[in-house]
Amino acid sequence: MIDNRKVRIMTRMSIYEKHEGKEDLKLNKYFKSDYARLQVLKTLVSITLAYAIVLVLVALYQLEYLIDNALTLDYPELGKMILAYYIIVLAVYLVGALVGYGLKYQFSRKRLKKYYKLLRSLKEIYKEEDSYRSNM
Amino acid sequence: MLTKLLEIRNIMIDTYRKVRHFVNPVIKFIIALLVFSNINSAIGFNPDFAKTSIVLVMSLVSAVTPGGVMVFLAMVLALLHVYYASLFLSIIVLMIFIVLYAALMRFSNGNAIVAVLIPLLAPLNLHFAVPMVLGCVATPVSVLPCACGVAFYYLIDVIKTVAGKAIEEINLDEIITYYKDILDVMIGQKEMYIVIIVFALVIIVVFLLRRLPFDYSFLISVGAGAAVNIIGLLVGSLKFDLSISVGSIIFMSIICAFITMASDFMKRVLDYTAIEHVQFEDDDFYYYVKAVPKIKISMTNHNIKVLSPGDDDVSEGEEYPDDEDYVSAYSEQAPGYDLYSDYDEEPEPEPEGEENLAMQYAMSDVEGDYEADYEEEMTDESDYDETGYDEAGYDDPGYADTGYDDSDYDRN
Repeated sequence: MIDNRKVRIMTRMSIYEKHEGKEDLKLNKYFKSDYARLQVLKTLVSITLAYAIVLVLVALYQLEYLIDNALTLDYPELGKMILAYYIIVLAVYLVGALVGYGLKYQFSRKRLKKYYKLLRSLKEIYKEEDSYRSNM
Repeated sequence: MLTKLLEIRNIMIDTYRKVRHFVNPVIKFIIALLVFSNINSAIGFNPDFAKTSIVLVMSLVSAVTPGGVMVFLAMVLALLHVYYASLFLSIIVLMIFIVLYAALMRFSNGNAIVAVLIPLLAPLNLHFAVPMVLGCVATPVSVLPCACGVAFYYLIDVIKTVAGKAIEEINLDEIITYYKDILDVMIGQKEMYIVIIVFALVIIVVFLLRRLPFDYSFLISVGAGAAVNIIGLLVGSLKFDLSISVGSIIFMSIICAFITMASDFMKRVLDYTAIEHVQFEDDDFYYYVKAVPKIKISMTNHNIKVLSPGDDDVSEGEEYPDDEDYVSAYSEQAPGYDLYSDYDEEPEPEPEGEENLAMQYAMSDVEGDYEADYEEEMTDESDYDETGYDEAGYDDPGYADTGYDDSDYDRN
């Protein structure tokens, strides 16, 4: 015997799972801090890669100057400058990633709460069914 | 006039609901086709990859995969063409692509397609609509993929100008000079920086104003977005020599504001009216459910009433032909996709197996239940929520008391 209430709830849950739920349930595997940390780590890797490539492009652009002044260049100063820019870029991206992914996680939790509410009402229906069967 | 508009909208919604599963891939296919043929016509150095069959196959793949795949294929195609022209140039372009991906595209969050839409629309100056739409539907993070799209557009321009030289033989000694020339052209693209900054401002302005809690915030936000676009680009064209003329900046910004409004309306209407097909199971059954959102307006059943002063009687334009239609017209549902929005669940029986009979029985059972549900909605006006269409809301108990069906008017 099909219970209409169950069909309704399960349909709503299944529509959610089909759309936003896919991503939300993936995020749900992590704690907020773990998720944010993982994303920050990924951002760190990608930004480091991008920065390294930009450095190579700049170095190639200035190759003539670099070769001409190879002996007179102030390498520690140059290193400091490269590092300073790297830290600034990285800080911007990492703070952005931390805030952005944190918010994303929070929003997904809000939607999941509704999903869990549906799950609870489904559980109630199952409980009712069980008690009905045991009374028969 | 009003009813005509409603009917036109209803026909559009109905048609879209029926063909929805085909429309999205077809639109993506057309966009992909245009993107790939544009790349081929702009930098199609390698005739093997400019073949129609290859373009068609890539477009088909893009039609059924997420937007990011289309962007990736476009990058690969561009790279293959550049490789044919010059190995050295292709290495530089590859490096730039990696930087753009790692620093910008990675954060596209489902909006990757804008990276190819901007280069596609830019020749017509219709790309002004992209940041406005993004401001409406996305977060400020979409500034990054938007910047990436602008960069792609100007990068293709740069490749076009420098690749001519590249086809000729280049000595190793000349490579450095050649490379410097390429980067000089890229760095010299002042217009690119201005457009990126202006688009970023437009996205942020539209996003912020859109969320302010006052009436018409949507219209104001799009208007402000268009204004920022016009002012920003005009200031840019005063300082630097932009390729976009002043007239087209103003005219196309206004056109794009209207396009944004239309697309936002369509998106909201169409997204939330889509019929959902879902499958799930419990211990006893497999369910194949078709969920139809309750937002249908009956074609000829608008209950137009003429209220004249001093006249208690209400003369009715058209009556509802029967209770069922009355109910379907009355019970227009909030369009917002929400877990709690009422879906018209209609379990479809499984065609085979023993459960078939049970499912059919269940179907009639469920249908019986709908009537009860509708009745509940009719009596409970306070729960009736028309959000999404008219944010200001329209709640006049006087109308409700007379049984005046304000749901149709609420929307407009």
